[in-house]
Amino acid sequence: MNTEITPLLEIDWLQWLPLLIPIFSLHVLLIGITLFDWSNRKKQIALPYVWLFVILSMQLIGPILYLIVGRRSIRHDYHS
Amino acid sequence: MSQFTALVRVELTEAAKEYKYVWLTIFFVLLGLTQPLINLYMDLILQQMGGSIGVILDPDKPAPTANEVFLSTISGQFNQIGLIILLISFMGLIATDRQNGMQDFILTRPVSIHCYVSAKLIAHWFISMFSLGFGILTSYGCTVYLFGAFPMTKLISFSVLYSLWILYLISLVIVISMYVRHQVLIAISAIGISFLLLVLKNLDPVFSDGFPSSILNVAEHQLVRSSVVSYRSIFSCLLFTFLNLMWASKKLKN
Repeated sequence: MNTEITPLLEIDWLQWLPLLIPIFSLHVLLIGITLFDWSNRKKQIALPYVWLFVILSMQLIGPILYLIVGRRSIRHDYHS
Repeated sequence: MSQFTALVRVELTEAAKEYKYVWLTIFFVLLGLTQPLINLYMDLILQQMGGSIGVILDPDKPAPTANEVFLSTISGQFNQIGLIILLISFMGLIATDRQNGMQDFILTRPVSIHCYVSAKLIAHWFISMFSLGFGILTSYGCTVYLFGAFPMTKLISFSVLYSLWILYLISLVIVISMYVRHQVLIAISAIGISFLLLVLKNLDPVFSDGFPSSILNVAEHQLVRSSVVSYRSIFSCLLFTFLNLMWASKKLKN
């Protein structure tokens, strides 16, 4: 694995910026919607903080997994 | 007929409550946006990230044309990771209705089973084509901007044929969820079968006409001309979709 970070500093970031902005903002929008839904349902879903970790750590796949699976997994009353 | 529209409307509002239009659209737009960029900047990426003695691309390679790049977006991204996410999002199609008792509630009313099943099919087809359409349009715009134009008519005929493949996939999920109860198993088996079909479509030009996935060969033919293609596969895809629907409603009746 290439762990040297000097090539990262040499990249002309201004040249890439117009291409990176739409991708970056769409990622932020998706994570924002997911976090909004998570904060509404924090009291109801099972293992809420595990799902928070999943949403924030895996980009693109994490929020989608939460929206399909996580928000449906309702906590049972007798556990808590 | 009003029953049918009511059932479709229920599915559509339910999808809106789950933000399905939003996140599925964002996902496909991101997929459609990244692939042309990666194609264009592969040289730069390898140069910057590959280290001093990294791999390089052949500098004399012919520049890819716009329709080839667009085809690589569809068959490389939409038809692999996009297909997996799409099928995972379909997995609760019938299973959640069965689990929370909604199915019994609907079917004890004077609603015909064909109506129920086809409403599921049409509603989820509409949802997925809404998101996929945005993804395809973004990818088209990005590809045209970066690689040069190709005609819009090709894009439209491609998208119509591709949407029939999505229609078949949804009917496949409906049939599987008649037999399998667990949602994750539904998703896994649907993904397995659809990838098997994707492999089988290139096996033999005569034999593979019978598979519903061979409609993708016709769809790809709209973008990049290939020699052997038969329009019978459109018919076979529609036939399989119809048979799946009949099978599902027959199973549901018992």
